[in-house]
Amino acid sequence: MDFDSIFDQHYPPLVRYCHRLTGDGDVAEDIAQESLVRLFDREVTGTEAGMRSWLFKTATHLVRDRYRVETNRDRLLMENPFRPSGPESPVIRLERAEARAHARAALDALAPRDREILLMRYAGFSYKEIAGAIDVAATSVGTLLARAERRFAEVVTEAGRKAI
Amino acid sequence: MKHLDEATMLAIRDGADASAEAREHLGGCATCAAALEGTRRRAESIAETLSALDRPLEPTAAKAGVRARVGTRSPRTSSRWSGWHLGRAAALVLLTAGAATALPGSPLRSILLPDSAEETTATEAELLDAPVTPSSAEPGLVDAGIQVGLPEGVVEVVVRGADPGTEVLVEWSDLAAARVTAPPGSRFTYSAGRIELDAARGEIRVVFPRGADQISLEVDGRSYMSGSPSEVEVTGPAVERDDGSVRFRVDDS
Repeated sequence: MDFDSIFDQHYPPLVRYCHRLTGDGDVAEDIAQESLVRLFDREVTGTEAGMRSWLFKTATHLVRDRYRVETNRDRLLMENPFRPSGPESPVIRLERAEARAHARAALDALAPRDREILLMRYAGFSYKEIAGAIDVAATSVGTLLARAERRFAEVVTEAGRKAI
Repeated sequence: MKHLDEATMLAIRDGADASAEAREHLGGCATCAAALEGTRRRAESIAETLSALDRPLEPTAAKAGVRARVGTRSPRTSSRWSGWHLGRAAALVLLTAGAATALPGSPLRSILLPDSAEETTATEAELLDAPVTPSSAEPGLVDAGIQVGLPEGVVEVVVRGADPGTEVLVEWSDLAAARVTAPPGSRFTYSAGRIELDAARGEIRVVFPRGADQISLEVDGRSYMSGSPSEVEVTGPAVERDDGSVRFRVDDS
């Protein structure tokens, strides 16, 4: 595969994953780009799934490095509020902000590893791929994912109740 | 059979491995079938909630930026994928062999764990002699790693070339061997009870056996920790520490 194909295929889902993981779109793009630069610099080749796993694993490590201190992440979230790309009505803007707040609160309620597992699963990774990328046993992924989903759903439900 | 647990249900829902017995139970149990349907609805809800975080992406500038950056950094160590992959495969062979040597009476002990006085080293180049073909079954690339036994109860790990800011995570394990993993492009030299690492950029992970008599970790000539596992002295730039691990961040000193 050539540069364009690899970039076009992997960049959007990688940014989406990093953005969900960090809550910061600019940081997400930085990390996705750095991961791709490393992929090309190191001339990583292999199956499509292999490259995807390599990229997501590299990005996960970069995110962990960047947000090693939790307060730093909170500070960045404060400094980088979501900026909508176009004009929206106040009502829609409020609804979107609320939905994002609920999603963010639910992700923040998870332990870092559970958060990564949940987001990788919802980025389309198999349990085996998640195990390889997050360094957990494949047999543990189901249990960890179940716990993460349960907690995520609880927090979203609770946030929805409070908002009513 | 009792009802399926949630992890099994998710495995079935997500197309992961689940036992034939579990699938058979599901076919005849209305309670579990309903619960499975509940996990599907929950997955849909989570996917929808997560999508609220996404934003439109304009990748054109990003693509140009990545293209401009590729090849502008000169890696400190060789990191050709083909060579690295072969090295990794060879390291995996060593990992397996290392585990085998942990077994008392294993014939591999005398082959793979030389006397400490007769130090044997293997550079990546030597390890690459094994003609290993990359397997398409591999789901992805992982950090390179190496593991050695500890015939004398002593484990020494020496790291070179770690940039300031590099994180070194040290953990303890009940295995009868020491293990070091590092990013692709790193080079390992080893002998019984000793691992030397020329590190590529990225996190380094060191696992010491709790059963060792003496351990030591040295990074670029500076002692980070040494002593027996029960009374280890930490002298390096630790940024986090608990009962099971110590995380160092390499500084400029």
